[in-house]
Amino acid sequence: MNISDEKFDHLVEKIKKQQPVMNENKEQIDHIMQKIHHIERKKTSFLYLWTKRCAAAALICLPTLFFAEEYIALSRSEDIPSGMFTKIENANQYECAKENQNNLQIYHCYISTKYQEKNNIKQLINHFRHENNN
Amino acid sequence: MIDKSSLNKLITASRQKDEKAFRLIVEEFQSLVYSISFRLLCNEDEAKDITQETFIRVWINLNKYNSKQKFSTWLYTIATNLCLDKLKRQKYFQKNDMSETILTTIAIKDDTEEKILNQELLDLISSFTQELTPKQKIVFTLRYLEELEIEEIKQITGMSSEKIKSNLFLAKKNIQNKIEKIYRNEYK
Repeated sequence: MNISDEKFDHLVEKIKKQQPVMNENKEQIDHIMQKIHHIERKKTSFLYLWTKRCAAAALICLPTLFFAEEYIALSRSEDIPSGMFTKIENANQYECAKENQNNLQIYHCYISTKYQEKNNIKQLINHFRHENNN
Repeated sequence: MIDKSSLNKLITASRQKDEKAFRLIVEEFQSLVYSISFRLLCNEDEAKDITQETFIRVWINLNKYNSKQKFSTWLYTIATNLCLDKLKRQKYFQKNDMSETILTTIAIKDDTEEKILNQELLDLISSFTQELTPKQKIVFTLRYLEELEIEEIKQITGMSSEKIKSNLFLAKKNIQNKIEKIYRNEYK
């Protein structure tokens, strides 16, 4: 080992022996923990905020979607009666389908008349009740 | 000193956001992080900032920690990366205005018994390592002052063994030149 190496080792030893002392050790730890606590709190409030936003968006979107779907279903059912989608391959099937459709229309008409009659009777009963009360 | 199994328990608890467990980790390793930051940056306040930043990063990235690796190695990696960024940014490797008289006093005085204050230690390190590049400074500090094995330095710095050895050689040569220069001035 030459002189240079000796001096180098001596210097290294000297530095190694002198551990840097940290003043206000406890305060420094408290400060680190405070920062960490702050980060966690921020993260939680961020999550809470986004949950709230998502819930609000769902509250607006879900009923809108529900009504839109209902509206579309209703308009479709008005156009084509349900249960009429039979695959027609020959003239016989076509005749049968047409007859079914006619039957359905007749039934629909019958039900509507019945409903109207029922309503008229109800109205009549109400009318009598009203007169009796007077 | 916390044993390995206790440390693993503390890490597991900290991963589940247990701040009390993490506090114990900070208490255990704070001096290690501060020491390496202090020796690399030669500045007390900056070393404190780096220590703080290191533990915040540890808290945030604790789930990424691979338990096969030594926890201290992981801490060294985070701290040295932060120091390296700082050294590069502030161009610490550029020459400071250190007076020759301070250097001479430090080199000649054999004060092993005497307690050197932080400032004196800081002068001592910075006077001999001021001309080193950030990478040379890091490998010198990790190998000679922190007494880590080359394999561990490899993990911390991500450098190859050859690169570490060449950086160490250059750092040692540079410091020896500095010592020679001071002694030559003294005995002129």
